[in-house]
Amino acid sequence: MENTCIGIVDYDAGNIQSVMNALDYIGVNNYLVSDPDHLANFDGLIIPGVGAFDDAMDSLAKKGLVDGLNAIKGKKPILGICLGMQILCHSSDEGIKAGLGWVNARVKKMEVNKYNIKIPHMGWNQVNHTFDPLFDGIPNSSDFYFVHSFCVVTEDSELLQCESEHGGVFTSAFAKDDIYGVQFHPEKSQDHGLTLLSNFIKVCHGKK
Amino acid sequence: MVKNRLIASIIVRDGRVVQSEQFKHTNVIHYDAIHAIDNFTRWSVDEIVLINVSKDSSGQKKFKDLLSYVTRKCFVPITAGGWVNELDYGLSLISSGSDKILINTALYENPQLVQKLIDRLGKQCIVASIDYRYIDGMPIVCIDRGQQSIGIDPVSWANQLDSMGVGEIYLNCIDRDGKRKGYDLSILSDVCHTVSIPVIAFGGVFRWKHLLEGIQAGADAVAAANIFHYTEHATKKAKRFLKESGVNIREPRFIN
Repeated sequence: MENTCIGIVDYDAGNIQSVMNALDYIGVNNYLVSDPDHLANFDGLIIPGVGAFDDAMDSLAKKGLVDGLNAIKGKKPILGICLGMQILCHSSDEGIKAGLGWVNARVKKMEVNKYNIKIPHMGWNQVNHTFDPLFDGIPNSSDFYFVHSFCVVTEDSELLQCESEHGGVFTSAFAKDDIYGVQFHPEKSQDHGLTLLSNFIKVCHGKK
Repeated sequence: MVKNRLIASIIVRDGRVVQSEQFKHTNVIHYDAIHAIDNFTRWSVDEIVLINVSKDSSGQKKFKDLLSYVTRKCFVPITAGGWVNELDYGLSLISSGSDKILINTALYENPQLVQKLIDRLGKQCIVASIDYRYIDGMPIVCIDRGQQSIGIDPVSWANQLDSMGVGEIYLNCIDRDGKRKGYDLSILSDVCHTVSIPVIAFGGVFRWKHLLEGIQAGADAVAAANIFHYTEHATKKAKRFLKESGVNIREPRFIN
């Protein structure tokens, strides 16, 4: 895996350092990439992100990355983290912009329908119905760290997906071909998170 | 359901970890922050708060360098703060590897700065620190390392900050700091049941049961500082106690 190279899509969406720190620790080459022409140079891409849906789509579009990512879809494994997962969906309650629409799912505001449910959903929570290869070696229902106020929902039964619960059940990870999304932050979820990132890198390495 | 969290607060002055007692930081604890963070994360702590209590703002760069160093191998969320008095410095804490920023004095003196940070980073990145002490029997919020009263009670202040759009409240009763008597439970409970955002309790923990009392009062997360430095496997033992008391908390285990 030492010659595998991961691109971290840089579109001014914050908190990129934590992802770089985790990949450095795992020992995989990683670089920030904001030029759409450079996307194809990597063995796999990670789309991080915290912030608002429309800002993210605007920022991606401004850098030519919406077209760039659409052009590379299906050719390289891609992992979206948090907001990076949400923009893989077709739309979000948080904004009016269209998402990339690679996955048949939408993003909705988390419901505050029960006593003691606080938004943002912030902290460690169980991820159920885990799937391989992303969760290979991680016990089912392990805890991962979440920070978000909007969540992914889908009726697509073809989609591989994990579920978590906070005031209602939502999709905490999905996979379709080599498109992966996780709502939690693997880079901040200790050993299980690092294992998940290593699993993604193995996928990238295998597709070289 | 999201789990309750155990947080280790690490108080740093001029790059060294210090003990805090009623906001006096005279005792240097004999190891640097990286060792403390290494241990606490191995002992399955859920989150770290790193606070710069240097006497003036000249310690900002040193603190930021320390943050960059410790976050390279810290894979739980980390909140950093102290002396966040301008936008660039706040943003630089995030680019140095912090996940959230702890803000105290600027909430009162410079709310425009707080708004800019919220706009740039999102509310989930902003942790509002509230220090208060009892003055003539009344709880009053104090800023500038506890030195200046702002004449507002902590429950009203927490509500105002919730409306301002911060992501979390970090609540500390100065009279309890380092006093080993547990949290100030009545104010903690009032704040937890008033605001719509998560609340972190801090100040006064000496027994594991104090942590449990904080959660029973409604805190989403419970934090302590001094006590964790003096007990082998401290955060793991604390979590074990909480788990056995029925608290919904991440499994305590040894994590390499």
